[in-house]
Amino acid sequence: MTKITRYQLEKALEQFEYPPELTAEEKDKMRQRKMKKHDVAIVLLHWFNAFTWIFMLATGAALIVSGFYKIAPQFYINIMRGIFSSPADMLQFHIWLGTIWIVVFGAYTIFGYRKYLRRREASQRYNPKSKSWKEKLKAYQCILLGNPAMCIDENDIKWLRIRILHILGKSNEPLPPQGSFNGGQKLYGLLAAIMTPIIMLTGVIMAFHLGPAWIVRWAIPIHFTAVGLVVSGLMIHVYMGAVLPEEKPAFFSMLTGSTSELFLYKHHFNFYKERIVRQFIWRNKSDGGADLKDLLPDRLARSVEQKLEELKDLQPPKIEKPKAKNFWNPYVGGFLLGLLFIFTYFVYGRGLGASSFLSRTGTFLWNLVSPAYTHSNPYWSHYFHDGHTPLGNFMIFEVIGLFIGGFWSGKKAHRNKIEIHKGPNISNTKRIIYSMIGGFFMGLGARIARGCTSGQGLTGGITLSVGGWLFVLVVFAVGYLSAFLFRRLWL
Amino acid sequence: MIAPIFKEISVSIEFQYFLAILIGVAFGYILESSGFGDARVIAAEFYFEDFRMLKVFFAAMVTGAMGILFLNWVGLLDINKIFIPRTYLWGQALGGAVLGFGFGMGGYCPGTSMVSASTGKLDGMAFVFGAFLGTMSFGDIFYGWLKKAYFGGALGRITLPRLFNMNEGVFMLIVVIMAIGIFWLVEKTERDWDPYGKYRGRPKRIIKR
Repeated sequence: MTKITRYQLEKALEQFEYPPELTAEEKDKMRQRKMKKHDVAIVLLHWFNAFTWIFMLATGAALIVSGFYKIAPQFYINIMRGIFSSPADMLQFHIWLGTIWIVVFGAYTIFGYRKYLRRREASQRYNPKSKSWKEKLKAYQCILLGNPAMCIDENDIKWLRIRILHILGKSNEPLPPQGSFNGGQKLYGLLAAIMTPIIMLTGVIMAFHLGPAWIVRWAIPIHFTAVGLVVSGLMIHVYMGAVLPEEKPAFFSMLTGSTSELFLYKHHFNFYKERIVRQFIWRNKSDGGADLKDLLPDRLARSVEQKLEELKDLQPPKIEKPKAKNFWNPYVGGFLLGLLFIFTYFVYGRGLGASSFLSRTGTFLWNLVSPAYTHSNPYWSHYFHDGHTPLGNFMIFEVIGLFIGGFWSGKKAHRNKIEIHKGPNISNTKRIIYSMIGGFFMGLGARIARGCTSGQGLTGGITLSVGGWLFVLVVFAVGYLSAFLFRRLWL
Repeated sequence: MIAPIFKEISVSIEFQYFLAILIGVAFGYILESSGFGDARVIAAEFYFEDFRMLKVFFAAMVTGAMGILFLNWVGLLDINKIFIPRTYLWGQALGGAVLGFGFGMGGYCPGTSMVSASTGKLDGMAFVFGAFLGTMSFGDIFYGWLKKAYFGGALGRITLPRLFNMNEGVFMLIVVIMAIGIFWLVEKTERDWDPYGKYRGRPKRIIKR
């Protein structure tokens, strides 16, 4: 038999839209076999989230004491106060737990994003970017949710419609097969994904009194409403997971990470097919050959093999990635940069810069932690002279624009890509470490010289400032020396 | 004199910040399009391989300086009201040295590293993070130690023509001639001179333009 490619197998399985009926024997066999449903990270995050919510709701309800918003009975509030010895301690607990919650989710978002990108690449493997608005809507959802398997598409809307008709007893249509999450779960996931950042943001605003008073006042009802919406869905979620007997396997899959093949076959047929393809590819690689009869129920395996026989010459469509465009002519780029400086001088009477964005945001963050420190520090305190604030400055907004402009240009020229630029003979880790240390010197030097290559070098150079020219000369001279020392990094 | 506009007429701070964002967008766009989102392109200059960065830098400097001088001559821009970086010889020399050292090591400067981070380059992001730590270390740790150098050699708001007691136009002419000389020299160096050839072990990779 010729080798079956991933694409051929996916296409062959696509022919079976609904799961074919099983014999009792096949059912028995599949009930015994386990299939992976959730990653360890997801299982841990789920239970961390669950316990955090229990504690947060318990303390949160007892913290709401003002007459209009109060929801918990007085005796409950008294009990909770008794446990924490004082309302202030309870508030501290609520804030600390909330902070930990945000940090954990933040870490998951950062480290999980690589996985998201990988999955997105996989889901677009044979389907070049579609332009229809439905596809776009799905893409935006996917960015928010961070997992293509969680995004609602047409199939899910159909599922929701039929499921509701089922509950009302008005339809016998079979439910369309689902991926790893069904339409209802996805809907709740979307609600939680929108509400969670709102809860986090309003919570932080309330806890640390960020911003003017009216923002803090508005944060309170928004926080409560968002929590209320999540809780209303949460009740269904908990009821389904913990009480309904037919959802039992889903509950245990959240403990062990895996569930029986039969459950996935019946309720998540699309996900089942995905797993089969992956197992098939994996077995092909590791054992040197895989038999579909080992993976699929017998009758299905036979018909899939027949389909594969028909599709054996099928090749995946080739997708051409747009090539990165060439850079501008350097003289043209320099001329335009010069014009931009002239314009900025003409309008603002000042030049452009970059590095003070870092010191200003840094001072702003320090100021959140300890205003006493920033106001007494001999250097940082100059950002507060005459009632100024570190963020209320031209440079802050200019650098926000700088990020947008860089991204925009990179997108137009097809240069936006997660990657590491380095010399040919060093490892990625080494490059990142040296880049960070180089950045450290750069940041320090920029402060000592009162500006970086743009803020001191170009601005000083254009205004013919003596110090600016001296700075440029020294930077290039030492740059060549330092480049000689670090030639191994680049050559 | 009608300029600097925002110092002659009062404009709401919101509009000033909004325009600052637009200027930043143009700045980032030009930097990225000129190739500064790629550390290899910037570092190539130090190995006499591709002088793109130096060309952009000096072209911008000459254009900007001429433009400001011209606007002053035709009576539009009041040169006394614009920001000219004050000269502190020791501060700028020491800062330049520290910065130049980091330049060779990391291959970016703060502005270009932000541009590179915005196009998804992880080394650029690491550089921005490092630069953030370095920046903060100055106020938190080094300021007390380096205070003498930081304020050393103060000459105030002084420009080169004033220092040499020269007419601004004449000085500008010298700068332009110098710049043309530099451009000619680096173009020649790119083609003909390769002191790092034995380390590189491959021919020069000059980016097409």
